[in-house]
Amino acid sequence: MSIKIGLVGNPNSGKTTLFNNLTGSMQYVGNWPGVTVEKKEGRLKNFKDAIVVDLPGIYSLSPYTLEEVVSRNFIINEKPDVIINIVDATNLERNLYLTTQVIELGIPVIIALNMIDIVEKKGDIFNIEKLKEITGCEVVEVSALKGKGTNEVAKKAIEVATKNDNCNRLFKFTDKVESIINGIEDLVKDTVPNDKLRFTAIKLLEKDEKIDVDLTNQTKLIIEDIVKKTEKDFDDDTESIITNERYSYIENIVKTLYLKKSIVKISISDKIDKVATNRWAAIPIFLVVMFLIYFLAVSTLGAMGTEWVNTVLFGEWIPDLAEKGLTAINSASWLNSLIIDGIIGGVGSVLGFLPQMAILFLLLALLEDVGYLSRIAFILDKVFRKFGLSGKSFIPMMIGTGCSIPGIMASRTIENENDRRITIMTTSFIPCGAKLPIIALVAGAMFNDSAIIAFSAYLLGITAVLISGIILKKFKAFRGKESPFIMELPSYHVPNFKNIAMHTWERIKSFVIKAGTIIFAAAVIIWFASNFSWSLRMVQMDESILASIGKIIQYIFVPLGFGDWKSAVATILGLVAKENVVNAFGILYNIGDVSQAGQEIWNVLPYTALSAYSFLVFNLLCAPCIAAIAAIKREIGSSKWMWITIGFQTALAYVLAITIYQMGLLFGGTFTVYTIPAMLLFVGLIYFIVRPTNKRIRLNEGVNNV
Amino acid sequence: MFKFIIDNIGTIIVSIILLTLFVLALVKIIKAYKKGKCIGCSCDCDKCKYNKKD
Repeated sequence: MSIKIGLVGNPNSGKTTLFNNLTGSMQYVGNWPGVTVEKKEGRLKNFKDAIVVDLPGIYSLSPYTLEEVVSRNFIINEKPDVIINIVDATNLERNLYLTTQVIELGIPVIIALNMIDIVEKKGDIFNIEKLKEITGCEVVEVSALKGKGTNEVAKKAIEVATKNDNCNRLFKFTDKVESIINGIEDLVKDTVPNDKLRFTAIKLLEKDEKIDVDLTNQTKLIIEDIVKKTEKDFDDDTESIITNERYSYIENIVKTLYLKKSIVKISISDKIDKVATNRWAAIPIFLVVMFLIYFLAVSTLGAMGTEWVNTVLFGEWIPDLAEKGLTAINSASWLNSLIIDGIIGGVGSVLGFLPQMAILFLLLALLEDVGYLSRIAFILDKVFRKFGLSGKSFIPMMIGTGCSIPGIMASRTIENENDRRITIMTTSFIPCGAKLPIIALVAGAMFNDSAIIAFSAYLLGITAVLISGIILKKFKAFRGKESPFIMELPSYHVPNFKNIAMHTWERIKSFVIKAGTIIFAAAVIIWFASNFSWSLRMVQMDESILASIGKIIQYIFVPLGFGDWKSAVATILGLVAKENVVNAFGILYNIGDVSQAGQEIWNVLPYTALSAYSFLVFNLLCAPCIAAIAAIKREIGSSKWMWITIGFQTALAYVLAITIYQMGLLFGGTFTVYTIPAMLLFVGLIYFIVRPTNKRIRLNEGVNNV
Repeated sequence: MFKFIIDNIGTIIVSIILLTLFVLALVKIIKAYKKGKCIGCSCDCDKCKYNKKD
């Protein structure tokens, strides 16, 4: 018999950690709410007939955001055989609010009481027997993080699902509300199955528009009348009446469940927060922390690793081995060139940055695991709000530091459609892992492994997000009040090294898989197109297919300071995957043949420091890779908005890059034919930033707010 | 013809291996593209094959 188990709980209550324990999966566990935005399935360990479904976190069964809809639809429409309701014992009131609703669904429920070890550590007492008695559900103590109680939860889930053992203690509202609910139940009992009757009646009373029930017009009118009458009698809207009654009930039962023995004192976490989230110190601390991360990842530790990989592994060992092997089999010269210049030069030059990337991912995972990254969203909320965005937009951006695609998908946690659209349009400004090789290349080759240059790339991403926020919010399509940002900050804790290692490994693995597929395929194509002419004859690179294409495109980039065909081609190839920028350089500049030490191999690039930085700015901010563009289209919901996003990002990248390059030249005393166009574009950008909002839009908003 | 094959056997074998790897990589890319996914991406989506580890 196949059993379906649904994991339901509040955001950041430990569902995915428990899911990984139950199934042996390695799903990404984030230390902030909203990490899971789609349901994920896995088979229960030691019981392969049972499927466990990890659902996005929800606070109630009245969904507001897209990922909350995923959870509710699954629970109601797919009806799992048993629900494991994960309750965070340290946040009892809010977690039990969901529990009272889940029990009403008529599906067997087990309560997995998570973080009970923290309660015990505080010296507080939790009466588990009482919780069993009140809810009528099986209650199991777990510590998802430490893997305690996992087997027991799994065993109980199977037992309860097999017996179809429902929790028999439904939460009772006051008599007056109960009689109203009973009245609605009588009205809909012919169209709604018996087990969903109470839940549906409550949702109809709450005016839940998303509830799927087929009623006659007459019944709908009667229910509308009941709702109106109830609201008049209680002088409140029905949703609030239901919420208030639930919370009053929960408040009372919590008194009997939880005995606070500990004297309320400031925890270590609170003490750290007093400094880390202090209104004056928070931003400087954040900047110092991020600088240190880039300092370690790109300049010091990471640079040492990269130097070894470039000099020894891809500079000597692999090319020597390949050359000896190819000579031994007497291979043709074109094949030698393809393997050494094309594949080793291209793929090797990208993989050369793996140590820097690994350290960056490791440090970011560490910051997230200890709980600091979620504070950054909180800290930046104040800054973002001034620019028309909310801290909620920062979570997708933080997730996007690995790959923009999950970042773009994480925008589903934003309920305001306009804010969500802006977040989707700007998430890829924050450098993803694939852009790190470009950052490390420019910082390493042109700026002597400068941590400031690498860190500036990150700041540039945030600046681009803020500028975009100001510009876009002035257009009618994006106007509206910013979403309120309410976020529960997890307590700081000692890092879980397994979690950190898993998270870092997932990101590195994804990079290596890309190197073996898309970067390898691109390397072969780049090598072919840079060594053959249109008539398919092997020629000098300057007469190749790639050169002929690059020489047409290059003029677009002349004002930005990198108007040579190789840079133009590398930039365009970055649209396939951003790693291809470095891949193309590796092949086009014959890195495989250059046997100098470390980053010096990149000294062949035809850049000045200024043009290199302009190249970096443009490639970081212009349209992302094809896969991210597809994710933008999927999440934003239309081709029109996808093209607007690509156009906006590329235009902003162009304006910033031309401004930096031409103004840089001007400060150095060089006036070019592009200086005035650059100034005009810059003035245009400033105009879009400072221009007042259209009066008509403001008036309309005023009317709407009234 | 036979002599050509014997003389260039190394080149032919390595070329076939590389061509196979190239085609496999392309197939993987196209499959991922059809799913709307980035190769190797560990994105948070139940449709993504990289998330199906059971």
